Amino acid sequence: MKNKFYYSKAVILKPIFSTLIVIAILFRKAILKGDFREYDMKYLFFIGGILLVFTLINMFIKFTLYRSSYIEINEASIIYRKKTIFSEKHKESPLMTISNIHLKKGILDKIFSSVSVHLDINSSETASEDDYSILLSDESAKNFKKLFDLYKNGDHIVEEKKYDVVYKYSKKECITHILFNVSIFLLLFIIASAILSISDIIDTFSIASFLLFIVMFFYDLMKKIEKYYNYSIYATDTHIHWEYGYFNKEEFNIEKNKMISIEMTQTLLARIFKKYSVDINIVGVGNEKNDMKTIVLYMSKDKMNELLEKILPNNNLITEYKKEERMITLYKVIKMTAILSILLFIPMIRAYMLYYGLFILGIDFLIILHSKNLGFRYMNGRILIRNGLFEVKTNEIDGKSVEYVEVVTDMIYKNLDAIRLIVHYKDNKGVGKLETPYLKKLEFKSFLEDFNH
Amino acid sequence: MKEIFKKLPQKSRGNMLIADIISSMIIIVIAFIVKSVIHSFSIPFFIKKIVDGIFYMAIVFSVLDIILTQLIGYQRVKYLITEKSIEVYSGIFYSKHEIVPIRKMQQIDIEIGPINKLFHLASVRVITAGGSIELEYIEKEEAEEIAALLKDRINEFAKEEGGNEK
Repeated sequence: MKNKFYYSKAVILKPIFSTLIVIAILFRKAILKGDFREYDMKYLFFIGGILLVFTLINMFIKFTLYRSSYIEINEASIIYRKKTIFSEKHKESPLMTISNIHLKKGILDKIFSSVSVHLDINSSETASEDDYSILLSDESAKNFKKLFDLYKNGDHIVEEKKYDVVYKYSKKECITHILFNVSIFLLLFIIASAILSISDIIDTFSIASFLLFIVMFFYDLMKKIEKYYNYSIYATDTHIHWEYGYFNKEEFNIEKNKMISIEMTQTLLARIFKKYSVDINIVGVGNEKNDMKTIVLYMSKDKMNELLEKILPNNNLITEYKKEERMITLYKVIKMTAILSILLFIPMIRAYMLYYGLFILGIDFLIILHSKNLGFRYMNGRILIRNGLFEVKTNEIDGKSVEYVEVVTDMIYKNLDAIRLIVHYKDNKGVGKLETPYLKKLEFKSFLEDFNH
Repeated sequence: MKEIFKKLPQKSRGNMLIADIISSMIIIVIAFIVKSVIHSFSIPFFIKKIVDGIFYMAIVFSVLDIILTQLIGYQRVKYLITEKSIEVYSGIFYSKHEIVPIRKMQQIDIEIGPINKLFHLASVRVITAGGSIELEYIEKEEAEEIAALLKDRINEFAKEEGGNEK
């Protein structure tokens, strides 16, 4: 099998489609009417000429890219050579530093039978960009992935039967996940602006904001439907593989040992219905801050546990957590009430004493609610931290990945023998931070001893 | 390796004072500009009052910060260098205790700002893959000593780990 892969012809043809889209936007009215007479011929030639020149230049650049740029893979490394009339680039990385391979197939790729291949290097420095990216034909991409698996893992992981776990989420599970992921705040904004729009204080601003929120909501929803449609997950002892998307089909393949943390999430809605979802964070993967990969879509605790046991059998997410003591919560409430009461010295706030009192009570209630959600556990060399007010997240990280620790306390917490840890660890973007609840010093003893040695 | 458990030198108090005064002045000037800009608009009276309140609170907190740093903050700062880690204690309202194992250190920087120069002081910045901590306002010679010591220890750890991998 050849190990040098050149760009697909689609790279030259794609600029034509971009030009057609620009034309469609510029002349949309005339196209819809089927009548171009309203335009001045000089204007049409001028615009057409500019677009033609740009398209030809773009196609020519892409042609040089197609002719002489390639990605090469061998037992030891990945080599990428990009050559256009303007620039030349040569990149080489040892194969062991590649953390994941990601295949992306958009609508145009479906037409041209091409696939975008992205490779991420195992470094948080390059997580914000594609470390290696090339457009290959379907056949080349398939062969490239075969070779990648062969050289990197010493095996072909391309057929379903090779995976120990194959889980294809049903449409119902995908929809459930999308519904539990709906932004509650956006929904509240929609309701609020709708009420304003139909009430006596109707004005253009509230109608515009209502429409804006609706558009934002549906855009968000469409993005999620696109992402979670046909969501499938495959796993072996060493690897996890994802496939998802309808218009843009994406595939990810990562090594389990490159995983930084496991995160179990429950949104407010999911908490009401007792559903859980699990994501993982991998070094070098993703282009956004905290970009994570979902391995378990929202489902019941038992079902989640069953699936998680197959994919990540060594996880400790379902366990008994050390919770914040009542005295500590009481101190927090008293402290916040005292701080907020200082503002009562301001005459304007004193004038609304009743409402301000209710506001303080509300804040105290939120503190108690938050304290109930907090938890910490150190077991099997792994740290588990539970946190959140409405949306609760439980993070599990390897104690060895902790870079440094801050121990925080104050005069009163000290008397209660309570401390809080701020754990700094290496994230997929460089710096990750998790905060534990205030607990008795003793609860952190074994972790701090292990950390110091 | 000899364990070092130290407090800041007396002259760092002066350095802290000047640094705090400068940063407080910057905050107060910014707050004053924001207040003046907001007052130049015809906005409801109570919003102007809130802005005034925030401005006066910024002044009070800045002055309080300077006083408390001199009275309490300065005395609370201490650091300890053991064979395996570096620990820094600090804080006024909250007490903070930062622990960085030497095996996790990636880079050691010595920084000397213009005010540090006046007092012949320096800061040692310890950088890890998950962030950094700073040992501020220490004697310049001591900073260099600490940096050299830590660099040696980092190299020793790297060699040990390299040997273990082989």
